[in-house]
Amino acid sequence: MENKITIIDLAEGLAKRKHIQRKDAELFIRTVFETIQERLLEGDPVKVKGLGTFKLITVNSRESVNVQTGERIVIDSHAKVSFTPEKALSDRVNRPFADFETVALNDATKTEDMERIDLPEPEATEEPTTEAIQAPLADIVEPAAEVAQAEPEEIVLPEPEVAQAEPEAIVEPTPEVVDPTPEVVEEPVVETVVEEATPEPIVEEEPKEEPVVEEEPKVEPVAVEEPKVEPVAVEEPKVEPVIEEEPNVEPIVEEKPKEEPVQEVQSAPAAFMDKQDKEPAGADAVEKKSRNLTRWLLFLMLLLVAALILFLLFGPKGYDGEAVEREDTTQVEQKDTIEAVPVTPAKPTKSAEELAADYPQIPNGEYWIVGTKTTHVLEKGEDLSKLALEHYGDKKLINYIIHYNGYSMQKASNLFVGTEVKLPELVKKEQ
Amino acid sequence: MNNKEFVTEIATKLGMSTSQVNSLMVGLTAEMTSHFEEETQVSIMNFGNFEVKKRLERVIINPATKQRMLVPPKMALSFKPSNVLKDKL
Repeated sequence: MENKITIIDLAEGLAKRKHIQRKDAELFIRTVFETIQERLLEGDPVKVKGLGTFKLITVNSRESVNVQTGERIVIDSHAKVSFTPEKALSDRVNRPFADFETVALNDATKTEDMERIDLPEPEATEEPTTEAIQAPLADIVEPAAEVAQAEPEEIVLPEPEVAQAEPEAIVEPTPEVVDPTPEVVEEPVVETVVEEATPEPIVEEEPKEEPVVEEEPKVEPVAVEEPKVEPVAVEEPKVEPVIEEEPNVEPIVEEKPKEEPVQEVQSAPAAFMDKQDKEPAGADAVEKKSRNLTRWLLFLMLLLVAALILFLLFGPKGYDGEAVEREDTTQVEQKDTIEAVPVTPAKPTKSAEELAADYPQIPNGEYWIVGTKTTHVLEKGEDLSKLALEHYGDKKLINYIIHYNGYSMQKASNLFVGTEVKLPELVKKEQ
Repeated sequence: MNNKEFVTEIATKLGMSTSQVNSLMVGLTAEMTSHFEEETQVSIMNFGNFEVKKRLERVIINPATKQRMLVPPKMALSFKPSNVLKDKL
């Protein structure tokens, strides 16, 4: 602490208070502490009014390890001064925190869980989406470039192709990562893309033949390279079915953003592979496509991995212990009040108070004990607080069980398996 | 040794009446307490340091009931004997 005062400052203060010489005050203070010290050295505990008790306590000899050399050393038995401040003094010192009380925690509240639940979800939805949008774009540029290099003759064609491929590429990854967002959002995107690429076969499941037929007119006017172009066109229908499959997967996985992307990626490649196998088109085209596809998939995988890492890195951070524990206490308080309410309805015939007269009551308790509810034979692993929780919904009511059975605190915590415990019928006291 | 004996001993040492010493003691403790409330460290030469420290909140478990309790943070006055005092013991 930065401010530190000594006897001299104390003496000044005392001199002002008591209107005496500063020197006298200092002498007095020195004498006081000297006396305490002398008495302590005699082994006497010294009680000073308004301050507390100084006491000598002996510390037993113990073994320890020298931190630097690792040698085992014995610390000899020695005396130690202990100081216990007076209640009044410690209360005054503690005044800033006097309003806090010790709170009972429920079993259900776990600080670790709260941290985990609070953070990850919002991040999971935000981060991947942004990434997914950025990365696929980069993704798309490459396959396009490849196409251009591999088929230099098609100078006119690559453009429409790329244009067609691009939107689809975007469509695919987004649904995967963004699944939490409703399907409605995805479908419009898919449709528009499909319209661009192939006007008619929007939802049809056997688009392989039709699109080829329809695309031909586009290609014909340009050049002779029909065979090369066709397979590329065929590529699109292939992608579509994959998109159509995804909605089926999504509803199931919506709540676990972590896992689904992986699953979908796996299903997607499978779909691609199937269609590739079936495809009758030219060999080079297939190779190119597969290259493009593998690139895509690699990128997707990388993306997902990156998202996961980010998720793990930033997930658990962000809350300091105090804040969390504060929340804890408030939660506990809420739960306690809620659970405490539904105990037992009052009996109409006799007032609870009259009934209660026959049973041992807890003074100033919240409930009357008005009879025996049931008896319970303790099994292994059970204790009274568990019973209280089971039967009354509140562990605090363990006190009533203990009281009703006439157990001492010690006995209550050391009950044997097979002990028959009487559970009291409780009625809430009216205000 | 209780407060009465303590006061008497100081009175004889200084040649004052016990009531005088009593009043001075009250003044002294009041003075020290006021410093503690400001969380000022009070160090007494050759005796030790009085310091107000913050104890963090923590979770305890009542061994009898297995009830978990959250103990709030608090300020506590601590005393650390000086080396001079330690050596004399």
